[in-house]
Amino acid sequence: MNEKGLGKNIYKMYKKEKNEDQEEDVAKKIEEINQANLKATQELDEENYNKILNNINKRVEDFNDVPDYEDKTEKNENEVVAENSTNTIESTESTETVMDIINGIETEENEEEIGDEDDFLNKINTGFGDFDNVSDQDLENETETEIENIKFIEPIRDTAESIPAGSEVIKENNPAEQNNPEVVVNSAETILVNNESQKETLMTEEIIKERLIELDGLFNRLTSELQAGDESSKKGFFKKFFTFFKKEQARDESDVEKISRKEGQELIQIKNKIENHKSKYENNLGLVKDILSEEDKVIIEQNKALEDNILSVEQENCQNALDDRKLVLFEKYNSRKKSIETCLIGYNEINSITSKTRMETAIQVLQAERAVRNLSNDKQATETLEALRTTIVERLSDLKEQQLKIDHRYKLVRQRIVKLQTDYFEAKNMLNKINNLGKTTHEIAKEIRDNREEAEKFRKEKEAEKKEEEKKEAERKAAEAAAAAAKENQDKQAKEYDKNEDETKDDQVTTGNKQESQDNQKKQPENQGNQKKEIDIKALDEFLLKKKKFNKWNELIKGPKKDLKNQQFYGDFYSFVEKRIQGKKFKIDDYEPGGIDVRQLMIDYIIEKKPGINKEKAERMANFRLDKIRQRDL
Amino acid sequence: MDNIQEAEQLLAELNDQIKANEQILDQIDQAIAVTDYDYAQRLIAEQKKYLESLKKEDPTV
Repeated sequence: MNEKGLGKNIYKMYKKEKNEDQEEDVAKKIEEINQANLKATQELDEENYNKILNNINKRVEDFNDVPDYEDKTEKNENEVVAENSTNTIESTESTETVMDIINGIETEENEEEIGDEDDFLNKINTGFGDFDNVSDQDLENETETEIENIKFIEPIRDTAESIPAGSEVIKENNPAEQNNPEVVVNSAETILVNNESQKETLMTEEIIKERLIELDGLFNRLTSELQAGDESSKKGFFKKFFTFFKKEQARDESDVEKISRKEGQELIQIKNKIENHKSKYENNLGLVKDILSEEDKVIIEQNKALEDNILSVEQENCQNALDDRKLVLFEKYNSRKKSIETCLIGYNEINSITSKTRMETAIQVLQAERAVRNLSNDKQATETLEALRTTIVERLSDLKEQQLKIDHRYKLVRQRIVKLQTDYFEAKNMLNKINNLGKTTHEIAKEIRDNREEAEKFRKEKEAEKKEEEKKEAERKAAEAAAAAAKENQDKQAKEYDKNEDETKDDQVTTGNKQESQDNQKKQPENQGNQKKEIDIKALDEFLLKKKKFNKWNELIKGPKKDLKNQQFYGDFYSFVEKRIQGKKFKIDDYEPGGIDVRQLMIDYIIEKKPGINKEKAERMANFRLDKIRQRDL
Repeated sequence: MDNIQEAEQLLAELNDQIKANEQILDQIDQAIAVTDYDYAQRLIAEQKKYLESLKKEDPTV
């Protein structure tokens, strides 16, 4: 055996001995930690946890400090024993991890060092003391490298934290975690978090139960109180009721705050991460794209797509976790908003009735008070009136009492409405808060802008619709007015036509001259205007007032014999007047109807002669005839 | 005579108003109670549903 082979064998023996010693120590230590871990899983005491955690940290530090390992083994062993006697805790998972880590370190160290024989020969030349130093240094460096690896892996584990709490369990098969003592700390922390989470869950469960019991109590009391109808008791109930819901609202706000800090913040972070990743990639590629080969570009694109995919999955997970938390609260406040709206409709209806009654009663009270004052001033009031006054005063007093009650109800309903409006805005604010969870400032600002734009668009559409409606309404009114004017004109023409026709018929009856009648018909339009212009009503009235006795009228009405076409009309009119005064004490010649009465008599005559003719038309015809007499008399 | 008639008419109006007010006050009281009850009941039901769903969310509960 040459020098090299001897050295190799000596080194192997040395390492074997060293490994055996270390394995023994480690096995003992692990056994102790294992026991502590078993106890830890059964304990929930936070203080003990912290102590144990500190101890674990300390022990891990000792393990890390490999050059002093052998020296400290005994001390560590004693410490662990002492700790076990006072403290508790630690899980089997963490024990396994410690064992794995130590085995891993040892195995790797052995393989590497035994494998590198040339190195060993160099070292043996300088003596075993030097070898020990070099080996320990290597081991320390290697451990540090492993720690760096774990640190590098940490962000990946952070990403996995978006998975619900409780699933934060260290993977046993992860070599990076197995090979590093830091994992022990993480493991202990995980246990602590899990146990805290369990503790919190238990507490939450208890709290929810208590809240449900309180709620059931409120419901039972609500039923009984409202059945009993006791106003003061009802007031007491609502005081409790609103206090309870105020507390609940505060809880919800706190929950929203928690969600915002955890799930919301996580989502915002990942969104920012995506944004940064995108801009970083674009900036970097912008700088080097000219010098990159096509192949490199493709590789970079592929890498980017891969990273984008990972980030988008991460974002989706965060979004889902947030949505799950948001959903229940969102449903609750959405439902509350609707309930408030429904109840507000009810209270507004009551308010409308109350206001109306309040106003009516106030008016009635004022009127009654004024009347009572007037009655009191009446010094000559009879006993009956006095008794009535007393009764009115009594009833007025009753009405005033009612007025007070109505005022009270009015205020009550107004209070309810104001309270509900406040609740409504609070519910709306909560919905906004819930809705904004996990949104970046940029997204919220964009949403507000979009909403404003939408509202503006809606407002403009409504305005345009209103203008269109107004335009249509104006057109409709104009059309109606035009139609009404046309109809009026038509009626007017028809009336004029009727009038002329009547006159024509009269003429025909009087004269029997058909030709003349036809001529008159032909001349109708121009005659209509002329007749109207010819009749001077003022002059006619003056003329009629001068003539007193009817015999004077008789002469006038009969007129000259040659005026044939009107003879029949006036003759008949005379007979009509004669009949009218039949049975009266005076004769027709002594009859003094007065000029104006003559006109009335003629109107009556025309109406009798032409049933269905209206009074206006009859008056026009009478004036026409009388004016002819006036003209003849001139 | 006119005063008596006016006073009688006023008294009749007052009586009518008082009678109407009595009915309306009853109606208002009932309506307020019903709306209060409805609102409280809705809120309690919603809260119960919410708390039940919180219980369901946690499988350990």
